[in-house]
Amino acid sequence: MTAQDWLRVRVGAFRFALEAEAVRDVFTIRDITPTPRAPREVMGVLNLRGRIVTVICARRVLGLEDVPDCDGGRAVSFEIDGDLYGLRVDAADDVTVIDPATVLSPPASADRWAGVVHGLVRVDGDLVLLARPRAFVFPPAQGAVSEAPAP
Amino acid sequence: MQDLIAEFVVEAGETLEQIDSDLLRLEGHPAGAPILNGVFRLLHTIKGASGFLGLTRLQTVSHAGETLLELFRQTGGPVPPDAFEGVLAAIDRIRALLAAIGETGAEPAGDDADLIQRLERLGAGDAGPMPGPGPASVSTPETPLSNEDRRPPPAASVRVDLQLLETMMRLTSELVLSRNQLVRLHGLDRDDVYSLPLQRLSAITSELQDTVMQTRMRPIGAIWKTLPRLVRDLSRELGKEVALRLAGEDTEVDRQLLEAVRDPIQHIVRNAVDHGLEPPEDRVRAGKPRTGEIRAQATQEGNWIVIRIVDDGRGLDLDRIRARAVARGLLTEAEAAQLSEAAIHDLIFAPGFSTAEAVTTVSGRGVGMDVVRANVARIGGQVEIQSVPGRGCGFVLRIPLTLAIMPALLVRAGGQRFAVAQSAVTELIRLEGPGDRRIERVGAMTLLQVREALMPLNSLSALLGLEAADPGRFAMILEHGERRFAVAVDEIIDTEEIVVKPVSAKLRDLPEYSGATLLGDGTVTLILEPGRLAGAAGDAMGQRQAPPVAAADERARREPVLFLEVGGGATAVASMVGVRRLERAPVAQILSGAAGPLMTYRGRATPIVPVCGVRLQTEGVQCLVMVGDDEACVGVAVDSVVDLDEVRLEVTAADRGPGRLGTAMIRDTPHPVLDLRHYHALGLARLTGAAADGAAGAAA
Repeated sequence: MTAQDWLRVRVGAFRFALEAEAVRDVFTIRDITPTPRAPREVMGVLNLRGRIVTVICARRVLGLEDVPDCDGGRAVSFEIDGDLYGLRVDAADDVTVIDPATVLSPPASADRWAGVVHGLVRVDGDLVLLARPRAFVFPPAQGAVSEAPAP
Repeated sequence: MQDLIAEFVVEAGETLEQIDSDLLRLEGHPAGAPILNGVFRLLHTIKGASGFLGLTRLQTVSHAGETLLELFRQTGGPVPPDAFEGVLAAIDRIRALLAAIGETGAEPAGDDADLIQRLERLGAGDAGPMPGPGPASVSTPETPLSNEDRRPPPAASVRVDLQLLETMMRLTSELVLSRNQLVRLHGLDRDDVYSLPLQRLSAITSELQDTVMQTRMRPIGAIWKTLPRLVRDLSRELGKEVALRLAGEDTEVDRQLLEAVRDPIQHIVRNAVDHGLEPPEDRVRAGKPRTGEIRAQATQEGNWIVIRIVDDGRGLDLDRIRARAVARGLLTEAEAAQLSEAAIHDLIFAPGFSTAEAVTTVSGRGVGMDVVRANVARIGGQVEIQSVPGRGCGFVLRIPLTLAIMPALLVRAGGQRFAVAQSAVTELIRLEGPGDRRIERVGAMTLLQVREALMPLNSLSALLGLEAADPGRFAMILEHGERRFAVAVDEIIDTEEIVVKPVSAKLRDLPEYSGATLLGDGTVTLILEPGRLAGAAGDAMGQRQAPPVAAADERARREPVLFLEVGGGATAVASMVGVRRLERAPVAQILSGAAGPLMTYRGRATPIVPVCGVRLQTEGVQCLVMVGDDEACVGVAVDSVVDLDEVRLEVTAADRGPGRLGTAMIRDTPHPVLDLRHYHALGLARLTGAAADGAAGAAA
């Protein structure tokens, strides 16, 4: 493995790094249309330059405290299987290079974090959780990864 | 056949152009074997296709040309110039014949003996006089075939790369969207310098959209053509005798949708041969003709293409489906026992379900009906099933006419906008203020009565789990399948042409939405799936999902049926035929007349007749089923109205009697079937009797 670019984002009190290669864009959430009956972590859909983006709330995926008002929030967009998704984060910082050799395996656990976080690394003294964007949208079926869809 | 010929003429025209260029190369390199082979193959193709289409002149000419070329192919020697001329003459004749076929659709009369003899002589090494390109044989004397006429048949159609068509469609969709945006920005009623050009742009865009859409339409016959072979091979393999009847092959569908239903249709037909139809001996034993029948029919109904595939086989085996579902762990024994017939039918669409005892090469490979339903649902269609044990099974596929652009109705519910395909909306009703409609609450269910029709009413906010201040001020009356129901919304916003975009995979499993769209103002709006709104309304009525289906078979017909409580908590059913309204009359309004209870209803004395076993209420309100028209209306008193549903009413003679037609199995429970006409007649008799009594009294 060679060194890779990672986009650093913040979700709640946590620092995450997303594979920068997968990320298309960082955008501001505006005019989002809620999607009733969708899984809880789906905030809604919006128009990003003519394409429909499904916005997923990282806080909800991780079971963190909800932020009620999302208009004006930041989101990271990426494409999965031809569909465009946005991951709502609290802040998107900068792109950083992480040496794979310094990455530690996450502690074994069966909670919803385990499906999302696949590595830990210390950057400038902060603990950063490595995650693949896809894992936020379709968390691997291990443990109680996401809430059951709202009835 | 005619479209096959037309297609052939175009293809052969293209083939000819290819031959021309090859031949010219052949002349330059008389010994070039690969080129010779190419020309040979092209002639061979024309021969084969014309033989298949019964175009005998074409067939003989191409055959003669092919034979001549074959000689040189075998010897490997150079093609002598006179033989080369001979081949050219044959090709010219083919071209002339194709042109005539292209114009008239049939081969012109005449024969090609001169040319064929010439080619044969050339083959024998004897160069005789060249016949012309065919003035003697091609009977189009007013247009003699000169060199100027040596052009390919008039191109009535061309082949276009599919990708190009897709791109055209997408661009047109975007254009429609931009047009809508412009129109919205400008405002509909403003009159300025932009109004006229905008109107023109709008009209042209619509026309372009229609035209592009038209380019994508393909007849369903493209699928029908694949079926006879499939049925023949399969029935031989399985030792069954099958007659396949196809209808509606000219029905046109968007090609993308056509592709999407090809596999499902083939799968259903395969299933019908494999599971549906019995072996000939079994059929004879069951008193049926030896040969089983499968009918496939396509029709256009509004914005839907309806494909029906019906067999006259054994029908679905309910017990076996139930047992298999339990064995597969899809549900428990107790749950299975409670399922309605329709719900059991629905089980065959469950993932991984297959009732084939043994895995045959034909079906039962795990790609089952679940894939069929999923594929059809992906294009916004639906599959319904109807089956009568021992008599056959039918599948109804409903697919939208086109996917890309559709007129939609924009509504608001729970503070949010939604789009609904306008084709599904038959009527809009105001729920407030005066008007010819009524809302009735029966238990947990709300019914909307509009003129003569009674249908379930649900609010969209409730269906979507949204918070709503009020139950909705408007109702859309939707028609989906053969089901009618009403959905209440807060506001009807507008109609707009929308470009349907699929939702992301994350949302694709939500049955509530068939897609999303970008509106003129740039926001995303979800497109509601009317079928789901019907399904949910149906669920609310009685935990059933399968929508009713009109069957070709009279016995399999579903009809609207009232579930009534009649005495001591017993539930009876009655056909809705003749039922005018459901009333809840305050007891005080019911008067006891000389011949029985009466009330004034719509300004007329109306007899009240209790169903056998029902005692009239002494306080509060009395539930009445009003039967008959205004002139002769009778109130049939019942304890309560429990439900309204469309069910198959197969009445047996058990417990038949006055006012009772017999018994019907509904939801696996025997229900007495009331004869409302009996009570209607009883009431009317009383009315005329009472009138006679009154007259007699007055005379006395």
